[in-house]
Order: sequence, then structure tokens, then C-alpha cells
Amino acid sequence: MISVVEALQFPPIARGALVLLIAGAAFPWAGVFVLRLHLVPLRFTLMHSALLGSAIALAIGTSPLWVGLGLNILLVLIIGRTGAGASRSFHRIDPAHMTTFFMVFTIGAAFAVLYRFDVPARESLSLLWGNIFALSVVDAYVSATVAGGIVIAVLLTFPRLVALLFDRDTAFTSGVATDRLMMAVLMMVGITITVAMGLIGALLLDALLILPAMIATILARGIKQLFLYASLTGIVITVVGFIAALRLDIPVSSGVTLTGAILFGITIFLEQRRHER
Amino acid sequence: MTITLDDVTLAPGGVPVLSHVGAHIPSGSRIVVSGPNGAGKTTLFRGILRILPLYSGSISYGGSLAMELPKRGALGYVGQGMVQSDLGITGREVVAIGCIPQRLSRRERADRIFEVMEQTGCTHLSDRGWRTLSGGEKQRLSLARCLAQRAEVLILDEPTAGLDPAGKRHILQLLEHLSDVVGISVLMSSHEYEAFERPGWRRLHISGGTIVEEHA
Repeated sequence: MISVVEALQFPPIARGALVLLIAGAAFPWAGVFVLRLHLVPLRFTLMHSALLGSAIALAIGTSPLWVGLGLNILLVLIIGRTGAGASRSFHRIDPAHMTTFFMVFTIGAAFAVLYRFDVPARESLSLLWGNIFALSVVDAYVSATVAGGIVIAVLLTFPRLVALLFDRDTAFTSGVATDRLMMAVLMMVGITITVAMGLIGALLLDALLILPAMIATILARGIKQLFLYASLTGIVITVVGFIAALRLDIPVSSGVTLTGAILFGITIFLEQRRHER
Repeated sequence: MTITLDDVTLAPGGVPVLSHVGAHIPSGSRIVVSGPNGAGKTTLFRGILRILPLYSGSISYGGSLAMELPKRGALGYVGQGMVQSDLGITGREVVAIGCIPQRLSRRERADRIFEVMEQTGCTHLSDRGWRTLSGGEKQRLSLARCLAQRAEVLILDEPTAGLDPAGKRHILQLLEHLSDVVGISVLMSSHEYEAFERPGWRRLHISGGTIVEEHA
């Protein structure tokens, strides 16, 4: 069995590990918004849309990342302009309706494209569980840039985001441009989901986005702690998950997800014990 | 700030709740809006705040130089039932939300927060978690937040609901104090409008989708 240190001598593995670590630190912040702003259905829609983008990319032989990103940005613009980011427009469409429509449409279209263009099964499935070691240098740079962008954007707008997370009407009447801010958050979530799918796949991206945010929600006693703990949890999940995957000879996405699930289970158990005391 | 509603119809979800309403809210006035449940008190407030889009008519804000939209942060709002947030946010952080529209240094922001918390008598709630506070304590912090944003008009949706008599009295005295001393207009709804039959208060009664009575 190859040791972790030996494995990291191979550039694709080292690159994958580094990107995973950076994503583990930053992507859970997007998860905090998904959870706190009740964007879980939208997260599925964006996931399906990224899947459609990847399917199209595989069919025409181009980069799944760029087509996925393009489709998700387009979708966020449509949903944001007509619903979720247009709360004061009289012509607003219920975001839940838009989200559901695109959630179903994009996944249907994705499978139609995969079938119609004879995309090999192995490549199709890689969309579902990702391949961290197949990241190109460009993919790695994009992932790191997105991670850095999340951190900078959140830090620069932190007071406004706190107001939005507290209550949208309160934020609006306190002078926050809530519709614009909401659009920016949706855009951040859309881009993060697309990039995370390339790392650990559609089925397992919750391990990077949602699980750290959920664990942080349980543990944190304040809003700054919420973001800090989400990051720390993300780092622990990715590092332990990566090492476990190499040691147990399982896919990295499985290692990360299983680690996240076990950590979440332990957190729930300890929290329950604390309440009983 | 003077607010003038001219032939305003508000229709949340496309269903008119208030039709062709007109009202004039002069600067520094104190108004209690009464009416049965579902009469449209909250809808009226949300329309004035521009949380709800106008179906028809117009609302102007300001005196001689009236504007179609209120200046950012000029209208302070405390909603019905208070915000139910489990975010882990402290009293001080809630008040700090009011400082967002202003470009304040860290020091100025801290001073402003302390000043308005002192004005509303809630400095002791600074580090308390929002979810651990009582209704009256949340009201005080929300008022402090509105003062921090230098609101010229306070719009309060049933701020005394669920409070004990002492709590109600405190809020009422505080509002009158803010109106007299700071010069803020107060527009609030209440089912207990008898409590506002005091000097300086006006009453607007809403029924059947329109303002039917106005008492000085």
C-alpha cells in the first residue's frame, strides 16, 4: 500500500489534495448560506444544471467546468431576476416554482444528452462522484480562485450578510440592498456547486457544502463562530477524508463524505449528551 | 420626514387589500393605526416601507422636495411578532445592523451603538443572544437598531402585543420620548388604541380595505 507522503509526490495527487484542502476551508461558507437562507431546493437545481452542463461538455468534447459554470450563472440570473432576487418586483415569479421547473427540466435534459450522444458510462458516472485526481492545472486554479473569491466576498460584505441572514425585511429597511445581495449570494452558491461537483461529484458535494455548515450550526454560539467552525470542519473533513481514502483504497469523494457523515454523527451524539446533562 | 399617500392600492399576491387609500403623515407626528385583524395594517406599513410594490397610486417622502422612494434607512421598521432568528446573534450585533447604511469608523460605530442602546435602556442586553430575549427586550433592541440607522420615521407593527402592562407602558413612554426629544415620527399599529388616547396621538382606523376614520 502506498503511503500518503509517497502519494503526494505525484503532481496530480498533490494538486488534488491541495485544491481539496482549499475547497474544504472555503466552500462550507457557501453551505452556510444554503442552509440559513433555505436554498436547499435551489442547491439541487444548480446541481442538476451543472450536471446538464457537464453532460453537454462531454457530448461536444469540451471542459465540463466551463459549460457547467456558464449554465449555472445563466440559471441564477433567470431565477434571481424573476424571483429570489426580485422580492419587491410586482412581476415576481414564485422562486419555488422556478426552482422546481429547472430542477426537473435540467436533470431530464442531462440524461437525454448523455443517452443521445452516447457518452461512455464511465465518464457519465464520473459526473456523479467526481475525480479529484483528474483536475487540470486550469481547473485547480479556477477552484482556488473561487475559494478565495468566496472568502474575500464574505469578509467584505460581512455586516450586510449578517443582516440578510438575520432577517431580510430588517436588512432592507436598515438600508441594505437585499435583492442585489441575494443575487450575489445565489451567484456564489451556483459557482461553488459547479466547482465542488468537479472535485467530488454531484452526489457527494454535500460533504463539502452542507455537512460542515450543519456541524458548525450545532457547535457555534455566535455568527463569527459559525463561519469559523464551518471552515475548520471543512478542513478536518477533507484532510481526514483524503488520508482515509488513500489508506483504505477507496475514492477520495467517498472518503471525504464518510468522514463528514461520521463527524456529523459524533456531533449530534455529543450535543444530545450535552443537552441531557 | 413627511409621508403622503395618494390614491394608493396595495395588492400583495395580486389581491387588493387596501384600495385607493390617501393619508398625510406630517413630520414629527405620532399615529396609531387601528383596525380588525386582516384589515390591512401590516400591508399599509409594508407598502410605505416599499417592501411591497404599489399596485397603483403613489407615495411621496420628504417635504417640499418629495421623493418617490424613501432615503435609504430613513424608515425604521419593527415587524409584527419580532424576528425569530436562531442565528446566535447578540443584542449588540442586532443594533449594529442599523449602522450599515452609514459610513462610520469602528470607533464611531461603537459610540453610536452605545448611545442608542442607552437611549432605549438596553445596554445590559449587549451580549445577550437574540433567541434568549423576551418580547419586550427584543422591542427595545429593535428600536435601538432603528435609532442607530438615524431613522426619521419609526414604523412599528403591534409593538405592544404580548407585553405585560409594565412593558407596554415602557414602550409607550419610550416612543413618546423619542418623538418629543429626537423628533422622530411614529407610525404604529395596535389593537389597544384606547391606550393612545393621549395628547399628541392621532388615530387612523382601517376597515373594508380603506381608511375610514381619522381622529385627532
